[in-house]
Amino acid sequence: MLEHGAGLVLIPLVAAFMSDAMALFGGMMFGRTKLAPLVSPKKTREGAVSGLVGGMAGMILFRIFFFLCTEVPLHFGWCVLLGLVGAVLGQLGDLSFSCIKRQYGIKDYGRLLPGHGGVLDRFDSVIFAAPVIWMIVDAVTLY
Amino acid sequence: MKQRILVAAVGIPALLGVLCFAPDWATALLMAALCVIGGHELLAAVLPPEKTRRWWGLAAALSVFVVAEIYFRHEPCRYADPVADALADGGAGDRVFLCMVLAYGKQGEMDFTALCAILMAGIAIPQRSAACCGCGCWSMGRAWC
Repeated sequence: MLEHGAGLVLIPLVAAFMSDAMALFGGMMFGRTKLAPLVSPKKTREGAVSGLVGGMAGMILFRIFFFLCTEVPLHFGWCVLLGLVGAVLGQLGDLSFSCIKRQYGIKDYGRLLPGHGGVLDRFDSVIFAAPVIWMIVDAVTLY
Repeated sequence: MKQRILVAAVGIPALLGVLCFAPDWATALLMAALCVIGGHELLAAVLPPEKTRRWWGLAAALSVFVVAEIYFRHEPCRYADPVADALADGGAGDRVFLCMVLAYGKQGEMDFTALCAILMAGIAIPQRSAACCGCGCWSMGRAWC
């Protein structure tokens, strides 16, 4: 059982969403080299690296907010590692679901979340990152 | 881009509200709803429309069962464990196999692509999403917070 579970629940979401957002903005600003042109033509290596940095930065911000809310200092190193793992697996999930889209020639999975490409497109990174992050959170001493 | 930011500005606080402040059952309900919608999107992407209509119900039922089973497994209630056992004993794999056999040779039968999509939408995605919500730490986490 985990203490402060209601707060720790947010770790996979923070890591994956921050990675997604930073990958998008990093790719738009610095993107030059294609990451996987056959799978997802718009993704760039610079965006992927920005995503990794974004995941880690997101977890550092999360650590600060978590401390402000609960007065419990999470372990800095584990937080950075969780951000990195979330970002790597999140991008893997993103590419995996992009593979399915390219295979079947569709642009978006759905129209429920306009601009985000559907619920599945929004949560594809979380689907990959969540189980591994949960295992790490459950196994290590975060605080 | 403007639309994307607008949706995120509304959606993320709503998601945080449900995950952090709403009761456990609301979180489970949200997860089940997201899994059902995501499952439909996946089936619609990989299957023709008539097969999507035919098999979406099965995938949706499976995902609700999976989320419910994980929810009851971690709910500190007297009747939670028997309910979770009953849901688990339902055997998601058995139900898919039974539907596959019953539909064999008929129009809209479950081919390999449909089978993979149903297993993905009905079992894999809900189980991983349940991990996202840290189902195992819901009750104790809230009790300690």
